[in-house]
Amino acid sequence: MPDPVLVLIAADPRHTHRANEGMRIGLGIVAGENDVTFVLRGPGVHLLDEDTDDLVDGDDIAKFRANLRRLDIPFHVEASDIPDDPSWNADGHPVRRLTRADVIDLVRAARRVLAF
Amino acid sequence: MARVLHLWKSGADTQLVADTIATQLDAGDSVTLAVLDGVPPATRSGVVIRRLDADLTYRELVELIFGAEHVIPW
Repeated sequence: MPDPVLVLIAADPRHTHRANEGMRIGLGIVAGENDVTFVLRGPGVHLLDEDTDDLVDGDDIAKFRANLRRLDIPFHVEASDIPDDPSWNADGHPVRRLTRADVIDLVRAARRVLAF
Repeated sequence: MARVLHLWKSGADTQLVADTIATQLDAGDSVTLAVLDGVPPATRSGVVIRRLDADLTYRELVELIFGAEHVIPW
Protein backbone atom coordinates (compact mmCIF):
# COMPACT_ATOMS: atom_id res chain seq x y z
CA MET A 1 0.00 0.00 0.00
CA PRO A 2 1.42 3.40 -0.95
CA ASP A 3 2.35 5.83 1.80
CA PRO A 4 -0.38 8.31 2.71
CA VAL A 5 -0.80 11.83 1.46
CA LEU A 6 -0.53 14.28 4.32
CA VAL A 7 -2.82 17.30 4.42
CA LEU A 8 -1.42 19.63 7.06
CA ILE A 9 -3.71 22.52 7.95
CA ALA A 10 -2.40 25.35 10.09
CA ALA A 11 -4.34 28.18 8.45
CA ASP A 12 -6.90 29.88 10.68
CA PRO A 13 -10.45 29.18 9.42
CA ARG A 14 -11.69 32.17 11.41
CA HIS A 15 -9.76 34.47 9.08
CA THR A 16 -8.95 32.72 5.81
CA HIS A 17 -10.61 30.35 3.36
CA ARG A 18 -7.36 28.33 3.07
CA ALA A 19 -8.25 26.03 5.94
CA ASN A 20 -11.48 24.99 4.25
CA GLU A 21 -9.67 24.71 0.94
CA GLY A 22 -7.22 22.29 2.53
CA MET A 23 -10.03 20.12 3.81
CA ARG A 24 -11.83 20.25 0.47
CA ILE A 25 -8.73 19.32 -1.51
CA GLY A 26 -7.95 16.55 0.96
CA LEU A 27 -11.44 15.11 0.48
CA GLY A 28 -10.88 15.16 -3.24
CA ILE A 29 -7.73 13.10 -2.80
CA VAL A 30 -9.64 10.68 -0.59
CA ALA A 31 -12.18 10.29 -3.40
CA GLY A 32 -9.36 9.03 -5.59
CA GLU A 33 -8.99 6.09 -3.20
CA ASN A 34 -5.83 7.46 -1.69
CA ASP A 35 -4.91 7.11 1.93
CA VAL A 36 -5.01 10.64 3.35
CA THR A 37 -3.96 11.83 6.78
CA PHE A 38 -5.41 15.12 7.98
CA VAL A 39 -3.37 16.99 10.56
CA LEU A 40 -4.60 20.12 12.27
CA ARG A 41 -2.16 22.32 14.12
CA GLY A 42 -1.89 25.89 15.26
CA PRO A 43 -5.05 27.87 14.53
CA GLY A 44 -6.06 25.15 12.05
CA VAL A 45 -7.57 23.29 15.01
CA HIS A 46 -10.48 25.74 14.82
CA LEU A 47 -11.81 23.69 11.92
CA LEU A 48 -13.39 21.67 14.71
CA ASP A 49 -15.01 24.64 16.44
CA GLU A 50 -18.63 24.01 17.34
CA ASP A 51 -20.00 27.17 15.73
CA THR A 52 -19.09 27.06 12.07
CA ASP A 53 -21.00 30.30 11.44
CA ASP A 54 -17.95 32.17 12.70
CA LEU A 55 -15.65 30.40 10.24
CA VAL A 56 -14.86 31.45 6.68
CA ASP A 57 -16.90 29.13 4.40
CA GLY A 58 -18.47 27.72 7.55
CA ASP A 59 -21.27 25.91 5.73
CA ASP A 60 -18.75 24.03 3.64
CA ILE A 61 -16.65 23.25 6.69
CA ALA A 62 -19.65 21.65 8.39
CA LYS A 63 -20.42 19.64 5.26
CA PHE A 64 -16.86 18.46 4.75
CA ARG A 65 -16.48 17.53 8.41
CA ALA A 66 -19.58 15.37 8.12
CA ASN A 67 -18.20 13.74 4.98
CA LEU A 68 -14.95 12.87 6.69
CA ARG A 69 -16.81 11.47 9.65
CA ARG A 70 -18.95 9.26 7.41
CA LEU A 71 -15.73 7.96 5.89
CA ASP A 72 -14.31 7.24 9.36
CA ILE A 73 -11.38 9.53 8.68
CA PRO A 74 -10.07 11.07 11.90
CA PHE A 75 -8.38 14.39 12.40
CA HIS A 76 -4.89 14.20 13.83
CA VAL A 77 -4.38 17.19 16.08
CA GLU A 78 -1.25 18.52 17.68
CA ALA A 79 -2.27 18.18 21.31
CA SER A 80 -0.62 21.40 22.49
CA ASP A 81 -2.85 23.37 20.12
CA ILE A 82 -6.18 21.97 21.32
CA PRO A 83 -8.26 24.85 22.73
CA ASP A 84 -9.47 24.82 26.32
CA ASP A 85 -12.99 25.65 25.11
CA PRO A 86 -15.16 22.67 26.12
CA SER A 87 -17.30 23.19 23.02
CA TRP A 88 -14.35 22.44 20.74
CA ASN A 89 -15.16 19.36 18.67
CA ALA A 90 -18.66 19.27 20.16
CA ASP A 91 -19.69 16.83 17.45
CA GLY A 92 -17.18 14.33 18.73
CA HIS A 93 -15.31 13.85 15.47
CA PRO A 94 -12.65 11.17 16.01
CA VAL A 95 -9.43 12.91 16.96
CA ARG A 96 -5.97 11.48 17.42
CA ARG A 97 -3.69 13.59 19.56
CA LEU A 98 -0.15 14.09 18.39
CA THR A 99 3.05 15.49 19.75
CA ARG A 100 5.26 17.75 17.64
CA ALA A 101 7.55 14.76 17.06
CA ASP A 102 4.56 12.76 15.76
CA VAL A 103 3.76 15.52 13.27
CA ILE A 104 7.33 15.49 12.03
CA ASP A 105 7.20 11.71 11.65
CA LEU A 106 4.01 12.01 9.59
CA VAL A 107 5.61 14.63 7.35
CA ARG A 108 8.59 12.37 6.75
CA ALA A 109 6.50 9.29 6.12
CA ALA A 110 4.05 10.87 3.70
CA ARG A 111 4.12 10.22 -0.01
CA ARG A 112 3.10 13.83 -0.62
CA VAL A 113 2.59 16.75 1.73
CA LEU A 114 0.07 19.53 1.19
CA ALA A 115 0.42 22.33 3.71
CA PHE A 116 -2.25 24.98 4.13
CA MET B 1 19.13 8.20 2.51
CA ALA B 2 16.45 10.29 0.81
CA ARG B 3 16.85 13.44 -1.25
CA VAL B 4 14.46 15.90 0.34
CA LEU B 5 13.43 19.30 -0.98
CA HIS B 6 11.64 21.85 1.19
CA LEU B 7 9.93 24.76 -0.54
CA TRP B 8 9.84 27.66 1.88
CA LYS B 9 7.45 30.60 1.64
CA SER B 10 6.91 33.34 4.16
CA GLY B 11 4.18 32.55 6.68
CA ALA B 12 5.15 28.92 7.13
CA ASP B 13 5.82 27.57 10.60
CA THR B 14 9.49 28.29 11.19
CA GLN B 15 9.94 25.92 14.09
CA LEU B 16 8.12 22.99 12.50
CA VAL B 17 10.18 23.31 9.34
CA ALA B 18 13.42 23.60 11.30
CA ASP B 19 12.54 20.59 13.47
CA THR B 20 11.55 18.53 10.45
CA ILE B 21 14.81 19.33 8.70
CA ALA B 22 16.80 18.49 11.82
CA THR B 23 15.08 15.12 12.06
CA GLN B 24 15.78 14.40 8.41
CA LEU B 25 19.45 15.33 8.78
CA ASP B 26 19.73 13.05 11.80
CA ALA B 27 18.29 10.26 9.67
CA GLY B 28 20.97 10.87 7.06
CA ASP B 29 18.76 12.48 4.43
CA SER B 30 20.15 14.93 1.92
CA VAL B 31 18.18 18.14 2.49
CA THR B 32 17.80 21.16 0.24
CA LEU B 33 15.81 24.21 1.28
CA ALA B 34 14.57 26.29 -1.66
CA VAL B 35 13.52 29.73 -0.48
CA LEU B 36 10.74 31.10 -2.66
CA ASP B 37 10.28 34.24 -0.60
CA GLY B 38 10.74 35.59 2.88
CA VAL B 39 13.26 34.63 5.50
CA PRO B 40 13.77 30.90 6.00
CA PRO B 41 14.28 29.29 9.39
CA ALA B 42 17.73 28.95 10.81
CA THR B 43 18.98 25.45 10.15
CA ARG B 44 21.94 23.34 11.10
CA SER B 45 24.90 22.99 8.82
CA GLY B 46 24.43 20.35 6.19
CA VAL B 47 21.37 21.90 4.55
CA VAL B 48 21.78 23.23 1.02
CA ILE B 49 19.96 26.56 0.83
CA ARG B 50 19.01 28.02 -2.54
CA ARG B 51 17.09 31.27 -3.04
CA LEU B 52 14.83 31.83 -6.01
CA ASP B 53 16.02 34.66 -8.24
CA ALA B 54 19.26 34.90 -6.32
CA ASP B 55 21.13 31.66 -6.93
CA LEU B 56 18.22 29.59 -8.22
CA THR B 57 16.29 30.05 -11.46
CA TYR B 58 12.79 28.68 -12.04
CA ARG B 59 14.20 26.10 -14.42
CA GLU B 60 16.63 24.94 -11.76
CA LEU B 61 13.80 24.88 -9.19
CA VAL B 62 11.78 22.58 -11.43
CA GLU B 63 14.82 20.35 -11.80
CA LEU B 64 15.21 20.23 -8.03
CA ILE B 65 11.54 19.30 -7.67
CA PHE B 66 11.74 16.45 -10.13
CA GLY B 67 15.07 15.32 -8.77
CA ALA B 68 13.91 15.04 -5.17
CA GLU B 69 12.40 11.91 -3.73
CA HIS B 70 10.37 13.90 -1.26
CA VAL B 71 9.14 17.44 -1.85
CA ILE B 72 7.54 19.35 1.00
CA PRO B 73 5.91 22.65 0.04
CA TRP B 74 5.28 24.84 3.11
